[in-house]
Amino acid sequence: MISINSLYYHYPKSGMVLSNISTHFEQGNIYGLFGKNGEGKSTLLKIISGLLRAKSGEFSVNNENWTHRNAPTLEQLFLVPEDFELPKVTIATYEKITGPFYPNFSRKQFYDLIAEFKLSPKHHIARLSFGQKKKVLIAFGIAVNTSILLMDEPTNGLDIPSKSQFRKIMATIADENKCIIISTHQVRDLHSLINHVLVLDETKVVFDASLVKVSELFWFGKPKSTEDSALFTETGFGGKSVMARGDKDETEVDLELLFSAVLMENTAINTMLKNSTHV
Amino acid sequence: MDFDNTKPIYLQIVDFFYENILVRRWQDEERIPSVREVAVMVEVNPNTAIRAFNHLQELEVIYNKRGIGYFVSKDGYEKVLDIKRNEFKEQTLPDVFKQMRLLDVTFEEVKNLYDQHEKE
Amino acid sequence: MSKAFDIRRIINHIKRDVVLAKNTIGTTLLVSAGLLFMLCVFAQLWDKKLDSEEFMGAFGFIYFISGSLLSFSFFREAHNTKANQLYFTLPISPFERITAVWLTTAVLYTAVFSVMGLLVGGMSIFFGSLVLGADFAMSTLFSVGYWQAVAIYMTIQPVFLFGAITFKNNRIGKTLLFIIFTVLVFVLFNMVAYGLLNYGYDVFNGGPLRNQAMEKTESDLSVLGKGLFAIISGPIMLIVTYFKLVEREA
Repeated sequence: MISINSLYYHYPKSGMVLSNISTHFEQGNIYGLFGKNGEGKSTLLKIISGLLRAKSGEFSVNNENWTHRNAPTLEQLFLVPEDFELPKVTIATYEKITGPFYPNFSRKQFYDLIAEFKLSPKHHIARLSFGQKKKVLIAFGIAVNTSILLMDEPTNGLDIPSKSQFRKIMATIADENKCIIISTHQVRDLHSLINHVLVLDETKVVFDASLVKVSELFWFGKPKSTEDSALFTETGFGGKSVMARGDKDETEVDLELLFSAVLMENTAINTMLKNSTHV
Repeated sequence: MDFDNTKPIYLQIVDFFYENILVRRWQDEERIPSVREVAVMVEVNPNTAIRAFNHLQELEVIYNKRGIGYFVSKDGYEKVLDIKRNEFKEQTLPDVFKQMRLLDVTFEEVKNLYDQHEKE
Repeated sequence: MSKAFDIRRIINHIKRDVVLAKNTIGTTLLVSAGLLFMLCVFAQLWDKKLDSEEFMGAFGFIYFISGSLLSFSFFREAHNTKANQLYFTLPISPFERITAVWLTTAVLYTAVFSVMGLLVGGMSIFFGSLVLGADFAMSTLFSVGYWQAVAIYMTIQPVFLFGAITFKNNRIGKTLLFIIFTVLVFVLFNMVAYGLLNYGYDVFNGGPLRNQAMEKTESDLSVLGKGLFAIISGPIMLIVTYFKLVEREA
């Protein structure tokens, strides 16, 4: 679906933001794009959506070389940016002037979601709060039914009930024809939705694996005794550890713990990952 | 649904199914919610929900009627009872025994407490 | 898979632009109409008639100024770092987008403004004949001057679109500077070319031969040159604008 091969990017007059990125994104998955602030998450999403041009590397979307913004590819792609400005019109007008650009846009789905978010088509977008504007854009991004949906920090600005609503909606729309990439540093908001993790650190992809794989290989929790050597242990009282799973029972992947482990003990973690793929 | 931090979510969904079957909310041969409905209900990736359904299907607690949906098996209740009994004997009891030894609680004491509890 | 070039997307984009610029367009047209009406009535005060030169002068001037202002109000989203991500991910190719914007600001604008001009001109003549006792001659509204005004606008307007996409701040001022600079370069080029081509004729020593040569080249080239310049400069600026649009990143 999206395939990236040794991609490099830097902004004018700045150091590398992304270097030697190689990965691919497939349909039927919800990818979690993690990384500390300023580690190039948004930049990667912007490159995928054609807003920025990679300095070098191969890059294709739907098997088409994606170097300039061509309309057929853009029709199959939607980006919900972290910070954005919608036109100063009513929700209904926004739908009327933007919806027709997307061949699979569903008005019914859009207005159903708008109603679910307790908004009205008559609302003027300029008068909405940031969280409400985000809901308008999320509703629109879902109703366009593109095969690629990119979301940059979608839960930023949403209150707690809305976050739960967001997860429910995402669970409704995720299917085998859709490739969803969500960048976030709020791991907790989305951990139950994501089934593949990509971690960016110091301009590189430092971790890239499905959660099924992670839960096969790693064990998360408080070890009963000190007999096992942990790959990584949180500091502080009651700190949990990441360990090789061996023949222990499967545990739920603790994404925050995994994220810390990946940043602190990258070699150990990736060696295990690599060895397992060779078997 | 609140998630327990250590048990995989798909197994927590399985537990949720067991509970519904054990309290007879879902009868044998009754249709149960779809994968999508369960995913939305517990706010998880549909792939996770599918894992739970597959797991239950392997244990023959539920079965799939093509194009219609999932149903509790003819002897679904019995199967779940069996599974949960084994789980109780193999996991819960050993833990209790371990605590008893650690805290020096005798079997007599436990028996008395049990009888008392049943009377209430 | 949809087509790489699709007229529907262009229509959608025109609709979108018109809806979003509704207020700007409305105000511009209203102010223009008022101004044109006043100028037309003013022209009838002394000689009790509105002749076609007077009308076309006023019409052409206002048509040109409000058209340039309108053109500069486009591409605003492209420069707003918060809005341009949604603007540039909108499914439309740069080529379709420039076509849509050009159709809106050049063709559609000209059509609407012409109808408006005719109506206002007609009203002013009607008003003049009624109140000032001026001649009632609608024919003054139709003249060759109209096509000249349109041709000039069509030639220059792409430069405004170029300015609108290229410059972020002070777009009008920077574009004017750009035009002055281009004209200077053009004049300089002509002078150098003239000098080089006619050097052998001893044109720099003055005298009747030089004057004659100058006049000859002028009359030869002026019609052809103007036409050529008009045909080339419009499309060239549109092509440059297209590449500016392709280059833009958000």
